[in-house]
Amino acid sequence: MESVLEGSSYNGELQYVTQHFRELQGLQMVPFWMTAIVLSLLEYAHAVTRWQAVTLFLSLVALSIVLAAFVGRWYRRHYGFVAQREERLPSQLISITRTDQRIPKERSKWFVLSLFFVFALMFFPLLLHSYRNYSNFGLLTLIFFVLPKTSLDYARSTSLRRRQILAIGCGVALIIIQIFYDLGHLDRWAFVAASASVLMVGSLYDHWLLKRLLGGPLLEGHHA
Amino acid sequence: MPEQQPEIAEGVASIDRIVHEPARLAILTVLASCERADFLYLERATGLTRGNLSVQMTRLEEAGLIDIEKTIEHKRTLTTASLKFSGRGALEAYWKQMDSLREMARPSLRQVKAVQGGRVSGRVAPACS
Repeated sequence: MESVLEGSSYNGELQYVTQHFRELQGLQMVPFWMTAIVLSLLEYAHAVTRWQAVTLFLSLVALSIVLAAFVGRWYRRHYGFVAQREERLPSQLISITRTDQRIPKERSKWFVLSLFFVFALMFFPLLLHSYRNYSNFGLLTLIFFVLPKTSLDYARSTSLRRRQILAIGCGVALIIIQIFYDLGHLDRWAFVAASASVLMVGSLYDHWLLKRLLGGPLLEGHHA
Repeated sequence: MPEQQPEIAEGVASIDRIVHEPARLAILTVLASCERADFLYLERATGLTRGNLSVQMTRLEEAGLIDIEKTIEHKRTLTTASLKFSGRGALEAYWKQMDSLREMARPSLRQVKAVQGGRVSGRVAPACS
C-alpha cells in the first residue's frame, strides 16, 4: 500500500531525462571545449603565429562540428529519438546539433546564434587583438550553458540534484575565473582554457547522467 | 483509520488499472514529457525488454491512450509513439487520484511507521484525521 501511494523519484527521473534528452547528450559539446582548450594552450605557449592560430581555429571548429554530428548520430543509435516540445526552447540551447529530420526553424536559429556568440564574437577578437573587453565570454557561457541546468523541479533524485549543484558550482567557478582575469591575475588564454575546462566537466557529467538514467533495467524483473 | 478504510479501499479499487501498471505508467510518463518518442528510447528509458514493451504499448494503444506510428527511415522501420489527448487526461486523473489517496492514507501510514519504529507500544492509538 505504501509503495503504491508513495510518489516515485523514478517517475521524476523519467520525466527529466525525456525533457532534457538533447541537452544531456554532453559528448556533443566536448569537441568544442577541446578546441577552445587546445587553441588557448597553443597561444599561451606562443607555439603558433597569429594566422596559424586563425587557420587552426577554423579547422578545429569545422572538425568539432563534424565530430558533434557524428556523436549525435551515435546517441541516436544507442538511445533512440525523442521529439521534444517546442515550449522548452530556451533550455535546449545546450544541444546545438540535431541529427533527426525534424529540425524546427526556431531551434536552428538558436543554434546559429549561440555558435555565433560563443565562438565568432569571442574568439576572433581574442585572436586579432582588436578588442580589449573580453568579459562577455564568461557571461555568455554562463547564460547559454550553465544557467539552464540550475533550474530543477525533481529534487527527489540525487543524480538530478547533483547536476544542479554541479551547474551552480560551474557558474561560481566561471565567475571566479572571470574576476581573476579582470583583475589581471590570469592571462587571457589561461582564462579561456580554464573556462572551457569548467564547461567540459559539466558536459561530461551530463553524458554520465544520461548513461545512468537510460542504462539500467529499472522495471524489468519487478513487473512483467 | 477505521472510518477512512472503506474510502481508501474504494479509492484503490477505482484506480485505472491500465495506467497503474508500472511498465505502462513509465511509458505514459515518458510520452507525457515529450511530443513523440521512438521504440528504442522507450526501451532504454523504461528498461523493459522488447517483447514486454511491445505488449504494453499495444495494450495502451488498444485502450486509446497512445498513438503508434510506423515509418520507414533509411530502409528501417521506425516505430514512434505519442500520447493522445485522452491518454494525457487519463494520466492526469490518475495522479490526482493518487494524490488524494496519499492524503487519505497519510495518518495511517504515519501510525504504521511509528509502530514499526517501536515508538508506539501497547495499544495502538486510534487514527485521527
